[in-house]
Amino acid sequence: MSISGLVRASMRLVTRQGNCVFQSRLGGVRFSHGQQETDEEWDQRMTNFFQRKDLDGWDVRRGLQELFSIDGVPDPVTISAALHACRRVNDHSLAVRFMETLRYKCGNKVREIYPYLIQEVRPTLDQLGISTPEDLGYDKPELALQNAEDMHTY
Amino acid sequence: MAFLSRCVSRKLVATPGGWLLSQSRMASHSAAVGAHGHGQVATHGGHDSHGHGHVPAYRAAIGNREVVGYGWDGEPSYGDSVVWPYPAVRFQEPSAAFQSVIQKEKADWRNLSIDDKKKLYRYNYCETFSEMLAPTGVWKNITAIVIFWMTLGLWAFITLKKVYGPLPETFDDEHRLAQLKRMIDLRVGAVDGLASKWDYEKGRWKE
Repeated sequence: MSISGLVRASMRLVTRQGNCVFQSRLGGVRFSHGQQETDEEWDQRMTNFFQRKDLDGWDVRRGLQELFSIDGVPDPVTISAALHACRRVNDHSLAVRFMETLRYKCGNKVREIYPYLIQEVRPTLDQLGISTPEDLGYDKPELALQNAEDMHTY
Repeated sequence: MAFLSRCVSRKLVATPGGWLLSQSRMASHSAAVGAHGHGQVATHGGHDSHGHGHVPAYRAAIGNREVVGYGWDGEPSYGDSVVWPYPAVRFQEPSAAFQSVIQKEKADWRNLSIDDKKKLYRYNYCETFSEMLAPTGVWKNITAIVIFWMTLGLWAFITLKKVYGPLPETFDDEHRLAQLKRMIDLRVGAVDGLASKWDYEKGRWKE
């Protein structure tokens, strides 16, 4: 998809989406001087960041960690941009890991928020060929590790 | 943007003496160039490819694993954490077993099968989120230990009540009041203790 197409898609999503994601985010202090950044500005800033074409894997991971660190669930537009960034650095697993963090961040509202997120980013997932953790069977534990602390105690 | 760019541009520079976190990409580039000029080891981000004739010290620990990010503290190490979900290195070395999927990943992802994607995931990560969050069952162990000590306390209580006889007669009110009277007569704690609270002229407790 071209940039203009992406922006148009983004605008469509912005005008269409409800409040349910925003309400789950607390209006936090961002420890910045001067004017406080609104949620919308923050979404836009993160989206712009992920849309940059010169990001490498380090940058994408830092951005994803930033998304993960906030007290809330990112906007579907931002998620979409982040998935495209994962595509540009050729890291499908990073996209899957990111989807897993989204599910984790939904907390005890996972049944309400997560299907909404998937529904909103479904076009991006299909376009890029990204499998959700559920598609890979990672919504349930697949393998088990023996706890290293339990190995040689007796 | 300032905060974010500051975050994303922190890079890792390895020197023989230890780790340096340079504050900007420029700085790490110049450090790398400078160190290279002096024949020292310096790496930067994912570009720590071989060719300088030096192997960074951390290679002994991580082998050929690709350093792909900052991780949680800048060290090129792997660990599964729900707080820092993006470790600094891939979980597996890029061995021959993974080469085919690594190459396929560079093309259209729609051509990847589910098995390919799962293989790629385990190449990058050890545990999935649901595996990290899976219950360990250790609560049963803890509950057993707690109930064991509670039971022990219960048995001690039962022993006191049933095995030993009744309390000595000095525990009843009459004997205890007599003991109190004796303490007052002996002026125990005359300065700020018991006797200081007793009014000897009126023969009762002070107001």
